[in-house]
Amino acid sequence: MNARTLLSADHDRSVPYHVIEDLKINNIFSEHTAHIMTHTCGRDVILKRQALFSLLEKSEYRESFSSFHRELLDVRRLTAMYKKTPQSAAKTYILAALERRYISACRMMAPLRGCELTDALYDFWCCGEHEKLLDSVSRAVEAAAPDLSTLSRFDLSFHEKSWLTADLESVPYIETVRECAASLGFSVDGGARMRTHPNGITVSASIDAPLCAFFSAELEGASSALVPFKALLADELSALSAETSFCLEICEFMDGIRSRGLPLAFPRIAGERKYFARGACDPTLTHKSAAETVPNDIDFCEGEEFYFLLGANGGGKTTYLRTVGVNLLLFLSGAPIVAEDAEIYPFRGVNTHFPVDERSLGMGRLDEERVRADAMLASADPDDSFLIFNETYSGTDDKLGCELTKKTADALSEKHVYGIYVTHFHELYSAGGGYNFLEAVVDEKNGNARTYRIVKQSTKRGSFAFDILKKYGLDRASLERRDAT
Amino acid sequence: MTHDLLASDKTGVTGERTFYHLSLDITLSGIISNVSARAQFRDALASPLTSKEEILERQAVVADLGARPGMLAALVRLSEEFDAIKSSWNEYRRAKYTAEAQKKSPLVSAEERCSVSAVTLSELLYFVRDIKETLEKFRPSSTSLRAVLDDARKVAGGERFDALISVCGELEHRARLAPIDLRITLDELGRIRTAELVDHKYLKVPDPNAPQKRAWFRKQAQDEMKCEHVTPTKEDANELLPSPFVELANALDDISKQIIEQYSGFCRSLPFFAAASEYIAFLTGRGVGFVYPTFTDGKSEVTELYDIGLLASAEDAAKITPHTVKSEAGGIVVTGANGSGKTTLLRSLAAAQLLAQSGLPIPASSARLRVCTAIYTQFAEGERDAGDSDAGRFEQEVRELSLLVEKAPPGSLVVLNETFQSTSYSEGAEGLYHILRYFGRRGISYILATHIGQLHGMLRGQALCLRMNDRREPVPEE
Repeated sequence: MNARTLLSADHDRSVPYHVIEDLKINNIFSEHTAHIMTHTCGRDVILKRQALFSLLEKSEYRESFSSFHRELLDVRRLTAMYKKTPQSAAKTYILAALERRYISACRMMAPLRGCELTDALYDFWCCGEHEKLLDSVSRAVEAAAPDLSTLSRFDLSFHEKSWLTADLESVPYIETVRECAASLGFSVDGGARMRTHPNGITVSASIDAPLCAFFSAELEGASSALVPFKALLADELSALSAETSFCLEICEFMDGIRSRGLPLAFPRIAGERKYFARGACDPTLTHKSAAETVPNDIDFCEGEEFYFLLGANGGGKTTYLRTVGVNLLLFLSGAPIVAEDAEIYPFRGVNTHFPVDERSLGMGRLDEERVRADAMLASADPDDSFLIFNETYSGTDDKLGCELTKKTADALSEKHVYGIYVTHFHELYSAGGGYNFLEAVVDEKNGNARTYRIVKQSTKRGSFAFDILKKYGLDRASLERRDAT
Repeated sequence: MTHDLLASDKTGVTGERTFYHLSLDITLSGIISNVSARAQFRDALASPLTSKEEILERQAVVADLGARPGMLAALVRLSEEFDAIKSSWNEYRRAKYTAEAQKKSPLVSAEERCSVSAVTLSELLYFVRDIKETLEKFRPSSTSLRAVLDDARKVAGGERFDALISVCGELEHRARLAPIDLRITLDELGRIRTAELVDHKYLKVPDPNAPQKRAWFRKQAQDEMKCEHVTPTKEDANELLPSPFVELANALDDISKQIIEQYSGFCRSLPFFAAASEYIAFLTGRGVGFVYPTFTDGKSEVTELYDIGLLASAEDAAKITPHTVKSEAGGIVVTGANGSGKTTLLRSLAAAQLLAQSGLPIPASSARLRVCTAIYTQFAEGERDAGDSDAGRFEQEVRELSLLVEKAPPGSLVVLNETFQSTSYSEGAEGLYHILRYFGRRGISYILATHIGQLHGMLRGQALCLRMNDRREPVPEE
């Protein structure tokens, strides 16, 4: 089996881009990677990608993959450059460089084999007809090299009249200075920096014309070898760089997670609908180390498909929401998630409903939220969706808000949709309906830091004031202990 | 290699108020006349050396230069020239940003810059040659000065020294609007990667269109050197021509910077040695001997030590009583009546420690000292400026001591004068006892001058307890 592209995808699956924005995934990944993440994967593709990401965890493999990526970027850059460069000596050089990179990029696929995705890529680009083509291009580049080398050095004399001539091998002042300096024990880095123009200076038409005339035979020789392979300039190979870029960005993300001491796991793929993760963290909190992060468990399964999440302000409800949502999307992209262990069902649909302040639909906020929620419910695949609500209907009074929230929850239940709903309507505890609740409570294991854990709750809770007092060591027991010390 | 004759590992520290407490600011102004030399002398005392080897080497340089005044004078003159080269170069670099300079074309600016860089480098190269010749003439014996000579020889005696001077000369005297010849190399994308200036004498392109030559010569010229006529645009000229000059200027500047870096510390340190010579001349003039101390990890001993403050202020040095102190303990506690010379002893010991760790001789007949990592003082306020006796004095002292306890590292020396005199004897003794014991446990040496006699009893066996007798001599307490 062979494939032109690296990342296999399920074209019938996708999530709306606002999900990426709501979950702040676009804060940790480039827009391009975030877009790839909107094309979620099914079981088979997730397994293939997990195999690739596992290989990319090996540093040697990663290095080869990064080199391959850089080569692809070069092919893309040179392709664009060749297209816009007018006929000149430089155009022949660019063509030679492009053909060299093309061969090099294809040959760099060999060491990347080892999983289904990269094997298929190699089979397409390096075997059969393509293999013969690569050999021919290689010979052409070799044939052109001596001519291009000859015209890469020449002398220019600016006087009353200006002349271009072959390199006379005279010693430039800078060489003399460098040699003297070295002999006397000095180094001249500054001179070396200036000496090489990092991006080169484009040869102007007024110099290019005499250059082409002076070296006409060499240019003709090089062109005749290289031009027959101009057809290689199709964009297919360079387009692969978008996919390699996605892979490397995920790897960089994994490195960042590990460097902060947080866990990473490739979730097992569940056969039945469930979302379980142990010790999961919010991947978007990129500035926090493991010590500053409270891991939480995620556990949605049949019978407990849907949860309301309640808790104190600043208690980490939204963080938990992102923990659930971002990790789910990472899993559906084939990437590892930030958790110690996980088993997740590849839900077909994922959608979010977050407050939108600036979106004006010519109606009040409540109506706007209701319309959006109804649409989201209507489009959700029954039995195969995971929906995330954040403070929906918080813009109205408690009674109406609570009523609308219950209505939404009942509709979700009817469609057997999985999901989580953050709300501050504590009345839901006593509203009946057999709902499941999660709650943000003070993490008692963590002495002084103000941290919360999300735990399952089934009974009504009162004020949070006690927790906060305890957290700051101002409750009775803490004060008595302080006396003793 | 940089040649900073005052280089130290910078770990030695003198407390900010030490000079004030020891009256060294007043004393030095009476000994060293040149203000900047005095400032540098003071700076050196503020960063005492903490390595025995470094101190001994500094002593050797002080003695070397002291024994060869002609060499010191010549080196000081050269250091002034060195400063002049640096400031003229800096002036040019500042002038680059003036409005007038900005009006010049990029090529003219680049050519000018290259010329200035060439002049600066050649002056610096001549400076190195003069350093070499001066040191060769006077033949210093200290390792540091011989190292300066060795490095100067490597440059000024190097095989390509004259070649570099010659390139600088060519670039310095290069006429404006002279032909500019470049060697161009292209990169793998056919762009100009380098454009390097070559000497025009290497590239004499004959004009194949020149009409005056006979056909035979014209043909010969064409055969010798094939060429194509180029009509460069203004943009070509602006893009290609200035950078080779800037590149050369950068290369020359790199070498200049290295020479400056190599010799800046050396030149900067010379005023210290000039001041040291004045200090030695002062001691000689006052008729007291001086000695370069040796250093020990054990028993310290100084005999016939004079307080340089008294030497600087007393009309007749012969009337000053020198002090002899031998100590095995890390602490010294001096008691005595008012006016018995406790503070003078304290000051002379502390000043001697500072001078000794700066590689200088001290006014004594012999001295063997321990090396301290830092030297701090805490003097009761009012000791020098009478009249300050506000109610918060004790608290202020405690605060100062707590800061001192916080920062004083093991191996440091703490000098305390009449500390806690503003509280009752028993409270002061109790407080000081615990602090001094803490110093002892931490390996911090101390010298305390105090009225609190009971400390002797409390610290017997743990510190050297001295009492000033009627003749103002320190006598060990039995």
